[in-house]
Amino acid sequence: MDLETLIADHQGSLFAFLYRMCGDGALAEELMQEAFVRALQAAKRYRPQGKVSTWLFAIAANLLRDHWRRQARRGQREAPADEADEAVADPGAGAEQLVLARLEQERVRAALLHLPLEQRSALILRYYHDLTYEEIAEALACPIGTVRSRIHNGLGRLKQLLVAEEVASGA
Amino acid sequence: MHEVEAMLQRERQAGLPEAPDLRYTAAAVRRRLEGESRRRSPGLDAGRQPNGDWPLVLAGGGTLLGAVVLALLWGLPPVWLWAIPAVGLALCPIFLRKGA
Repeated sequence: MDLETLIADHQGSLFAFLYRMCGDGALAEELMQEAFVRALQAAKRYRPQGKVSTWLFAIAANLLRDHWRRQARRGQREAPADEADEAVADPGAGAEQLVLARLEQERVRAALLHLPLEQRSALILRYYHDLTYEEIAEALACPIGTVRSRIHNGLGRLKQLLVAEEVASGA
Repeated sequence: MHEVEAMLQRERQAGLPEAPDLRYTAAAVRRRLEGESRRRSPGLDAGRQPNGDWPLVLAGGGTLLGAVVLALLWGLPPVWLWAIPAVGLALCPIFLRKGA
């Protein structure tokens, strides 16, 4: 497996997945590099029947889980980074629609970060990376039925979070 | 539920911060791979032989064998009285090497 080709083909999607999972650009970049390292080291063991991207998502999800476990042991909480704030629209742009759209994006990103890890990863792989239920099951090492319930429950929880946030901001 | 799905779609279309430069990532991954391979063969790093433990194991084994043979030849009973310290002595270099 060629290093340059692997990175060129998968860097964008892997970075996007990790960034949406953790909301931290620096952490996403670090874990993405580590995921490529693990993939290249394990390339001989890779089963060619699966998609490379699915395999990389699986490695990345495991790395992220390990990272948060280590943080939890050190007593640090999983914190969404402040970078999401940078996405707020420049008021100088003037267009009210643009500002509202940016605010909605920000709310969705923040709400995603408050979902449990399993639901978040399933939703992100489904709605941002167009993976099938089978591929998500492979990436997250769980049965398809579990993927379905995680996505269903994740959407429900996301709706609750968005409504709660709307009520809080309107109050 | 459909409303939430539509919001996810809109958020997706909004995009994200750009991924790092490809060449930068490739260089960083290569550095990490080199670091990993050095960590896996520390003998090469410290100017040691790649299989540096083997001479120590052989020396330890030889010392042990010699001690047991001498104890038997000299008929110094009981044999274990000599053999057990000899084992400890033989393993010393290995423990020292591991601790280094």
